Amino acid sequence: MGMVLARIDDRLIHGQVVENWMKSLKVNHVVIVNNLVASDRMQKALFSLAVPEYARVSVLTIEEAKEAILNGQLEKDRAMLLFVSPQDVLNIINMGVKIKEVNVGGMHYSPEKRQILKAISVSEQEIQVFQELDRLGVRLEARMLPDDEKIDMMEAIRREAK
Amino acid sequence: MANSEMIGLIVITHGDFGCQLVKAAQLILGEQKEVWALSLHERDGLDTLQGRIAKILKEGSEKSEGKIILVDMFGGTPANASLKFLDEEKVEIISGVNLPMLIAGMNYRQSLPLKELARLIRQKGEESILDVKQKVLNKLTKEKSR
Repeated sequence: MGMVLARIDDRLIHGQVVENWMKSLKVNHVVIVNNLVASDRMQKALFSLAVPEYARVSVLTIEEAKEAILNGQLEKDRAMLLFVSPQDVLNIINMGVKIKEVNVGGMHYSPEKRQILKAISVSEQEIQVFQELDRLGVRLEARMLPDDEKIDMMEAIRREAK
Repeated sequence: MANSEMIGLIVITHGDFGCQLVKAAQLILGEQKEVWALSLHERDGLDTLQGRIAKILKEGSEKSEGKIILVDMFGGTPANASLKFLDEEKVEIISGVNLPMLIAGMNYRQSLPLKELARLIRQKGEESILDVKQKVLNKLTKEKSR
């Protein structure tokens, strides 16, 4: 089956992911892709304890995630890829991993960012990264929960970030 | 129409804890039907609360799979008020409501019969209380020794 969802959510594994996304997509393997988190023992331990027993968590660097995907190591799983930022998504795509669609779930607000949707705030630089992903043909849909309406991320950027 | 087949959840608490708990659960699972929150305030007596519970229990009761009352604390007024409905066959009452319990109720109420759902909610509640510090530190020590 392989990858059932690729999601950008800077809170990574939290209530919405465990109780809603994992259940509705029957995810049995959560793969966090981020170089910093991959070297943080405390966060790794916490995330691996946060999912139900039938599922497992891997926290990988971008390089490790690329290897795992290209070597087919996720093929037997129903895997959910979790990214902290659009930049990590762009990096792994540039390394040769195919991702057709990305769910943008949560990017928290900070003063240098503009809030474009309830749970999504973006910086100028992140807008450029989204534009690059769009040019590469990646479909970008903004949605907090599985049953929410899919919002076209690029349209939301065009509307709010003029 | 599908609503009448869904087990209803009634959260009854001291103050607005229950209202906010329902809101918190909906933040995670999205909007939910067949969920009620009753707040007990200073002015409310046992009988006013019981009247409000009775009214909710009556809603769609002939077709309903039943309802589960979740109260905050055994021995408190919300729990005491619920005791009036002890003999109702399609009503279960559980105390100590917390977020994992409410989420479990919402997640499984279309797939489990009333009594099993009540058991699951209680089990999830019991499992949800952890010494977080100890749990994470144990995990870290275990990984180190590997």
